[in-house]
Formats: sequence, C-alpha cells, structure tokens
Amino acid sequence: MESVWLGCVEYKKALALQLDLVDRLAGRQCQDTLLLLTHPHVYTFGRSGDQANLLVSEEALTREGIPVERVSRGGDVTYHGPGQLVGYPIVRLARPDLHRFVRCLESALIDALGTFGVSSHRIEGQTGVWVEGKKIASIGVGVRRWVTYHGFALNVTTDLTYFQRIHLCGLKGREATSMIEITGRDVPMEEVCDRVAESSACHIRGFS
Amino acid sequence: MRVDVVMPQLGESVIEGVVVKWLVKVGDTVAKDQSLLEISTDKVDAEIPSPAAGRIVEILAKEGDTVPIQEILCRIETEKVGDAPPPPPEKWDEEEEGFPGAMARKTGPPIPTAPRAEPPKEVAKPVPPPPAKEGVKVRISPVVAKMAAEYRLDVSRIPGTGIEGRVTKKDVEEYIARGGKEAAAVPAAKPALAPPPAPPRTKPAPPPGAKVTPEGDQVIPFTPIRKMIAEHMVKSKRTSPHVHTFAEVDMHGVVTFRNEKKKEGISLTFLPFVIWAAIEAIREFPVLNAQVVGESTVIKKAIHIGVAVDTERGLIVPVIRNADDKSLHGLAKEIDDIAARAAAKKILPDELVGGTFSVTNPGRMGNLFGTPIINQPQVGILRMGQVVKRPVVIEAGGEDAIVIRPMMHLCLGYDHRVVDGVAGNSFLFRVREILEAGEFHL
Repeated sequence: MESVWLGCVEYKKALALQLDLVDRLAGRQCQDTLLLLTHPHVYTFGRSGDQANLLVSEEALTREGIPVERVSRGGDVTYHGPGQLVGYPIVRLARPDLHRFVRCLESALIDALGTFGVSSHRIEGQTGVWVEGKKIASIGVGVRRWVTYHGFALNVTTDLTYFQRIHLCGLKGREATSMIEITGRDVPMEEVCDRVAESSACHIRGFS
Repeated sequence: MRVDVVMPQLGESVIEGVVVKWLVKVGDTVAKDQSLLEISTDKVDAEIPSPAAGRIVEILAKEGDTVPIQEILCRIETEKVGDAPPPPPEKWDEEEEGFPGAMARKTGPPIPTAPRAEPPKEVAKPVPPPPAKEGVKVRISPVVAKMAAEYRLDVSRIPGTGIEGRVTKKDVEEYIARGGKEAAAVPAAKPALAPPPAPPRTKPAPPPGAKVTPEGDQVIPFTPIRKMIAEHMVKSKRTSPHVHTFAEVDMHGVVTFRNEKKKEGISLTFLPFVIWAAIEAIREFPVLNAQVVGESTVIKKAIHIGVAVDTERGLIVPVIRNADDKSLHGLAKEIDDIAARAAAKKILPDELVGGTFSVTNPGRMGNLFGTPIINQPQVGILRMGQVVKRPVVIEAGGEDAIVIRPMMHLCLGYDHRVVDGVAGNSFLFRVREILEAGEFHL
C-alpha cells in the first residue's frame, strides 16, 4: 500500500480524487493507496446521519463559510478541520470483510498513537479510537465496487470547540479529544503522518 | 439466464446485513459492477456491485430489512442466453497473507517456540522445487512451493489460474489429479501438532521472494506473520520482566494411565495432562491467570488456555476456551481438532485471541528445557520438554532405590511484575505434584 501526503485539500475535491482512485483500483489499474491530508473546516454526514445531531443551523455555518456535506460513508456526523489528520485508505477487498477492515484501521491508529505515548483503545460496539472515555479518532468507511474509501480522522491539534456543535458520531455525551490535549505537547503533523502511514502499512494488509 | 445477487458476509462473525437503499428498481438495465444497493454495518456503508450486466427482474428485500447473509437480494436476467454464470461469491480462502495475525490485535497470537506433540513419522525427504526455467517468472506461495516439493513437481509446468497467473494450491491439486506427475509417497501423518517432518538433508532452495546477495546471503523480506511474531516477541520482553523456573517431573503415572487408555482404544498425548494439571494449579494460584491493566492486576475468572501450534506459515496459539469445563478426554479431543484444523489452515482469527494462560509443547525435538516468551497480555507460560527415560532415585519402603522413569522438564515463565517467586514456584510445584500423583480420569 502506497501512502501519499496531499497537504490541505478541500473536502469535495478529496472525495472526487478518492472516487477516481476507487474506479482505477477496481479496474486493477493501480495499487492500494492511503491518502493522508487535512481539510479546511467542514461538517459531514454519513448514511446514518441524523440532522438532529448538528446542533447549529446550516445557515449559521454557511455564514461562517463552513460547508456541510452528505456522503456515502458509514457513521453519523463528524467534523474535519485544521490540525486533524485525515486518512483515506483506498483498498481493494477480495472479500467483503469490512469488520476486519475497520478493526485494522483502529489498530493502526492505536499503534501509531502508542508511539507518542498516548494509550488508546477500542470500545466494543463503538467504532473509533478512544482515550479516557473521549474520542481521539473517528472512523467512517464507504465501499464501492468492493474498494474502500473515506476512512479515519485523528485529532492532533484540532480545535475541539468545533466538536461542540455536533453530537459527535451521533453519540450524546461523548466528547472529542486530541493528541495535544492528552500529551500537552504540540506534536508536529508531519511526524504523526509518518507514524500513521507506517502503522497503516503494517495493519491494513491481506485484503486482496 | 438468471443471476442471483446475495447478501455478502461483511465480517467473520457477521450473520446479516441491513438494506439501506436500493439504487435500482425492477425493470432497470444494469451494467456489470454498477452499484445496485447500499447495505450497512457498523460504521461501514457498502455498495453492492452488480455481478453481471442485465435487467433487474425481481427485488426480494425492502429498504430497512435485515437480511441474513447469502440470502437473495435481487435477481438479474442477463442479456445473452448461455452466458457463463458469474463466479460464485469468493469462499474464505486461507491461502492468504495477513490471516491470522491481522484479526488478532493487541491480545495477539505469536508464539514462543515450535511445538510438536508426537514424534514425527518417517516421511520422504522433500526435494527442493526445481528452479523455474530461464525467463519464466513463476510466482508461487510458500504453500504451493511445499506441495510442489513434496510431489516433486515442476511448478513452471503447472498452469496458474490465480492473480497474474500465479499457481494456486487448487491448480496444483488439479494438476496432480490430472496425472501430471506421480506423487511421492506421503504417509498420512496423525494430525498431531507436528508440522513438516525431519529437516531435509539436502540444502533447501531459497524461499520464493528471497533475494540472494553476491556473497550468497539470502535476504528474505518479512512476511506479515513473521513481522507480527518479531514485534510481539520484542514487545513481550520489553513489557514483562521474565523469570523462569524449572521442575523435573516423573511422568510415570501419566504414562501408566496413557497405556491403560490405549488398550481401551483411546489415544492421548502428554499435552492434555499438562494442561489439565495447569488448570488445577491455576485454581489454587489464580495470579498466574491474570493480566496487567494500567496499575492493576486483573485476575481473570475464565480460564482460556492457549496451545502453541506450528504451522507452515509460522507459529499460532489457538485458544481452548473455558478449558476448566473440560475433562481430560475433552481437552485431548479439542487439541486434536485444533491440530487438524491448523494443518488445514482452518483456524479462525477469533480463536487466536482471549487466552489467559499458554502451554507450549515442542515435542520430541524440543530438547530438555527452554525459556519461553510470555504471550502478552498473559503473565504465565508453561513449556514442556522431551520425556526421557532416566535412572532416578525413589524412596520405597524406607529405602532408596534406583528406578528407570520417564522424566520431563517443565519450565514456567512468569511476569515478575505481578507474579512473585512464591506464587510462581508454588504453581509449578503443584503442577508437578498433580502430574506425579497420577490420579487421572477421563
């Protein structure tokens, strides 16, 4: 699996890029790819997205220049923005073992976080990566032509106040956290990116 | 002709899926790979692509329905009569990298040492596969390489139907069935925890994927399993301060019982006895069945015993769940089942997690004793050594006498963060006592 750092990319542009890769991978014209990037502020709803989980009006967000997108991924509502590492593993599945795929993403993130001294874990029944009861990384995956897209979002130095405008992933009473909040250190995005790329290459394998 | 689209299985233990949205309706013409509907599982939304081009003639599930796997979602009439049916949904093919380890996360597998329960039978020594012809790039997996060696086949002559023309295990089987080459005599080995037979006297060919340097060194990139084993071993040693303590066990009682049962037609190896004794000892010294979580010792209530098994692709430790509910015979049967399934590569990833204590038996070639590495996140591991007849001194009727007894060394490795010497030593002492007392029942 190849990892590519794209820098800051607008959400819809990244989505178009993903869909193009999905088609090429489905046609076996390229190899599995992990896109690593950040987004400007955006709120997105997955298929199970409940409008009620957005706690402010869309007009208010539009006035601030923050788009709201609805996409074909699993999961409810989430926020992406500066300081958050977003990863889109575009992987061809020879078998539809989506559960294992999601678990591999979780493991990759847990391991990468471990290298920064952050002790995180899964919670059975609540996809994502958790630290002390708060969510440090969200996961929401889509599959088309048995190729995965969308993926995960890891809070490095994300401004967590933006999460206050939603019930994160539809879970009331669950808060978000970030690496800077947990460690007290301003971890450089590049370093996190490298570790996540490494860890993903280890864990996300055996699918095709 | 009719083609059925069924609910796929989205995960190992997944038995159903939810239909979220139909993207087509009855009467629509669809292309191959066009998305027909969306199904959902926790956090994953998947579009099901059409297996064939044709017309939707029937839709059998409604939006919002929960449908069991393999049940028909819709039917397509393909355009041409006599079209070859699409390939059936891919079966779970274990001939694949990433298999057990990827599923097993932190409470992962790896394996301390290579175990063999029974002395391996005499087998024809495998001849290394002949090198591929010049200019023919034949890509094969280690499984196929081994099969080819055993049956003395020239892999470059076998048509490959796998990805990029790879020769798959099935290709080899079919080639043999067609009488491609005569098979070497391979006796049916008892499905013990024994992997391949005696090491070949001839020098083995470099494994596929190995590069040879100008000096003749072989550079073998890590397979996923090897990488996982390597990482786990380092991590285990870094995490647990290992202490190893040894006992020498007189297996006379066990051997006597075994021989009795053999006359009744029941065959037992030494391993179930050791596991049984370990379980009993765990009841008395539960700290050996614990885990360290943060700054607490968590004494696990359930007793799930991991049994190390050597496979072609590396060592795995399948778990016998609730081993304390099983009788000696039950344990023996379960061990045999695990060994057979491991050899057939049918161990499920779910079986490799959740162990609370491990036992490893290297068998006849395991030498006297060894110091195994703890299988994280457990705190104890018991290693059996070979059973060797030795003269020992016993006290009989107040007098010392020398007798010949089958002796076995046991090594207990334990984590000194939470198991102190008293507990570790007492546990092992108790295991020895139980084995030497010889009071077994099936």
